[in-house]
Amino acid sequence: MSMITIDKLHFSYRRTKVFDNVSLSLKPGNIYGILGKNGTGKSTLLYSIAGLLCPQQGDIDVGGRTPHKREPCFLEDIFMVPEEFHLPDISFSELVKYYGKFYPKFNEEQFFKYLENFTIPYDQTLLKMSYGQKKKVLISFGLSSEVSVLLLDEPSNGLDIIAKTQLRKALVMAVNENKCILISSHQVQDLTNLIDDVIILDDTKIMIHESLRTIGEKLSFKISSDAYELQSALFYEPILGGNSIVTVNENKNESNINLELFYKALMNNPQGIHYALKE
Amino acid sequence: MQQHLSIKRLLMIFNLFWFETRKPLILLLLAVGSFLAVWMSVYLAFRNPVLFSERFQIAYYFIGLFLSGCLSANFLFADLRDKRKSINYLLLPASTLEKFFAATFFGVVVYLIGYTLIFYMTEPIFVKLSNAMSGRHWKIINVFQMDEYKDPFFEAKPSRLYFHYFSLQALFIAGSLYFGKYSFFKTMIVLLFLWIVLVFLPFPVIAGALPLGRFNGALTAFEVIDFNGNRLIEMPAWFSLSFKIFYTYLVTIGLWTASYFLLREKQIA
Repeated sequence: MSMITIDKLHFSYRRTKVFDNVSLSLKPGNIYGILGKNGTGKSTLLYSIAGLLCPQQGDIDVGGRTPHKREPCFLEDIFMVPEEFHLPDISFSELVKYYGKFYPKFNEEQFFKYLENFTIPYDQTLLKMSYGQKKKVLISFGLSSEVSVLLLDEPSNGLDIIAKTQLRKALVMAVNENKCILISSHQVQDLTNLIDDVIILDDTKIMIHESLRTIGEKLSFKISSDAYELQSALFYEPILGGNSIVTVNENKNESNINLELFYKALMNNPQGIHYALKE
Repeated sequence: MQQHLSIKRLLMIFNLFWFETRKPLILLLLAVGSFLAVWMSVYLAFRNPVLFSERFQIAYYFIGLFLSGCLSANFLFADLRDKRKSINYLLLPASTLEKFFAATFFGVVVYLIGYTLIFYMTEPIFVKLSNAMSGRHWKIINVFQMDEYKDPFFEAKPSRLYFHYFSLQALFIAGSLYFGKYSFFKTMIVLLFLWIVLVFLPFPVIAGALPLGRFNGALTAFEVIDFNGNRLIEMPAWFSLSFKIFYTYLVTIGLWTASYFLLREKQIA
């Protein structure tokens, strides 16, 4: 059963069309990665699911609720970490006291545990923190609120390498059969080994919505210098010491996915990739 | 109904709003107090004791209230002008009605109480100083019994100015939600337009279609000048009453309702 259903969504910013007849169904228990070039509507999709934008045509259903009505029962079960965010100049205890109460399942103990994992100093107020530290606090708050739908817009922006690893760990630990996590990112590598499904947006449409398992089963990602393999490859790009190639996975054993290479392959040879995935 | 109004959530949001707005609110009131003190000091220097009579005190009270109240109303939903803050505000798990109640309670009720307290902390000092300097015995006005004094602006009861204040403030609240950026100035332009259309133009236009005479206080009474004795033509009592109810209460309620719907339909920029 779907947790989020988008049906024939149309959305434009004045004369710029962002979505044209987009439909999507997202199930609980999964982490979805949303990829796309700048301006393809990754953030707009998250805003629409959160109820911050109202669809001009079509319907969005999140857990049986219409997001843009912004009913309390909907809002207390969804949390968004936007790319650009604001946190008031308060202490952690005040954040918990005044904001945590609004989320019935908010787990204070868990919140401080996440902060500890992210090595955030307790004695500072939020104003004195760096952008990356604030982002870690917001992500910790979102994860501790135990909501069913967690939306993360470019969560790894501003995070250092260690924090990115901690974030991946925290997200994997947080997801369960009742939760649905959506992550939009243009840093493709950050999503590798984290997401279950990938959604790629391009030119007002969803270019592809596929599980990584299927992609791994149908496509093979490797480095090769073999002329025959290069000729038969769906996509290749020269790298130091050979070529990174995407080919049809002949033996059907799940291959290790290079998400960045897959993205490039799809952008360069969409028909070939679609055909290979459908086969 | 629980989705629109829950006492528990309402208390939570009042608590949060008080926590977030108390500092700027107190600072604003202190700034208003300082402005009143500077203003009264200048008047004190004029050594004209009439400037501190009860009628003038009422004028100062309402001028300060109108100016600062409308300015503060413009900042009630200022968070919605900033994309980052508006995401926080709109996604806060409370209904639009609860958010609107909390914002208007602090912006309208708490502000009025705060302003009145600040007025009573500054004005009496200057009235007493003026009395001491001039030997007059002006009393400090009682804002709860306004109708004991003469209206400083119109031939009407001073308490009616509260209703005009609430209407004007409601217009600035609606303006801040509708216009977004530069909402204060845009609302001022709308106000000027409304004044021209509803006040400035109707009087000469309607008067031109009527016999020689003049309006008697309001649009509902017209005094015809006649050599055989002037005659007063009045609209039916029910019409006058409806008109009075409209501009005394319904304008404010209508603008608050419009503001609520503007907030409900708000999307991020």
